[in-house]
Amino acid sequence: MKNFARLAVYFSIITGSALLVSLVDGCTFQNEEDYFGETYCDTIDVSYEDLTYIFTDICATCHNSIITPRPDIVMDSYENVKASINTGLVLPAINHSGDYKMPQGRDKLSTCDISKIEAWVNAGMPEISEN
Amino acid sequence: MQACPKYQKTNVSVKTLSMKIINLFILIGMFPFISNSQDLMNLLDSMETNVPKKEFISGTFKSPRLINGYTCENAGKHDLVFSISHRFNPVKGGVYDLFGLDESTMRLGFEYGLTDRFSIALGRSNFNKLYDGYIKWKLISQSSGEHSFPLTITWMEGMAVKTVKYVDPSLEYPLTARFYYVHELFIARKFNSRFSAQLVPTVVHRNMVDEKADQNVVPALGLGGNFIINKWLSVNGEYYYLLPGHTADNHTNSLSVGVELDSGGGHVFQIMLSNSNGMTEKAFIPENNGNWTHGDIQLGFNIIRVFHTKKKK
Repeated sequence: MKNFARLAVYFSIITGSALLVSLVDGCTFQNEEDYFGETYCDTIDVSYEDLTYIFTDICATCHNSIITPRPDIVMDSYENVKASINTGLVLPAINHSGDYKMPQGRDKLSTCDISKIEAWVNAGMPEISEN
Repeated sequence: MQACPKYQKTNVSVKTLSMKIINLFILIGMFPFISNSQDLMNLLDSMETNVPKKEFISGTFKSPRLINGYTCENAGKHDLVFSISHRFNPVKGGVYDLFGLDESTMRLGFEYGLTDRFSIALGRSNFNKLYDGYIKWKLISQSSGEHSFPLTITWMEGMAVKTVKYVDPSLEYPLTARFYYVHELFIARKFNSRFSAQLVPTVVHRNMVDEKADQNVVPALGLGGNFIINKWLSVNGEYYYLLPGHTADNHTNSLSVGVELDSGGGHVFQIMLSNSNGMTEKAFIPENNGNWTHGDIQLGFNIIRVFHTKKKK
């Protein structure tokens, strides 16, 4: 009887906290594609300046002119990024299809971010926007 | 006529003597049966009084963690299980990267037993700056004897929060997009003193995924085993099978093998090779891309230490 009471207490604590958690934040079933809608991924007329939030804020925290684990990969300026991408190592790394999976220590870049970089590379890696 | 009674008397005495001898033989002959029946009675008595008592089988696994995933074991009452885990880059990086040891992701974890069957845990990984926590409840323990049960069943509910800044600061994500949940049931059996195995039905829930086609809810089935070689060395294996779906089509199942060194005193050291370098279910079940056949094998280790916060009575 004592064990049963104990079990009941635990059960109520667990179900109670699960209920509380689901009320406070809730399990959601979202995806970025639907959530951000059409504004989500614009791959037209992408310039270097449009991508510094990836190159400078993420890549260059480890791959910069002062220190980098790979001498060929430096991502802190337009010229350096261009040279790094021309080594052919960057795109496989961000696509997780090569030997290295980048960015290190965080999730793979979103499909949109990768599409933007690929579109920019295909457009000849312009430094500034044409328009 | 006088002789007659004499004769008769003699006859009677002969008769009684022979009867006595026969009786003696019968008695001697019966003795084993009598003593046997005595044994039988004793046996029956002992069966009534000494019914094998229910005994719980302990130590199905040596620690609450198997390799990347957990086991049916939880921290004992008032015990604090501290774990520090590292996962390195793929070994195919060669000598230049010291077989992947140049770069690592790590996790610190604490699990505390509120009772012998119920524990709570908290952890922090540097991958995605992820905080994770779980509650573990051993529902049924494997036992022998009266009312025995062949399995140990443990229920785990986990939650993880990704605190890393989003890549694109211009996008406003909802708070819920940072949350991940995991529901697991560990169905384990200690087959003998050397071999234990567990089956782990798992559901990982991700509040926000990247693309429309991605699954928010990813079901998987885990399989784990432990084979004890000697007092201090055992071999572990773990496999998480993604049930068919979009995730299974685009990601690989996590397969890990490792050795476990028990140096005694509640200290376990695990070294493993795995195609995934995640240390939380959210990472190594639905997001694993490593493939053993492509050489995506990573080294890793877990150091697990148990601290007894209160003296056991």
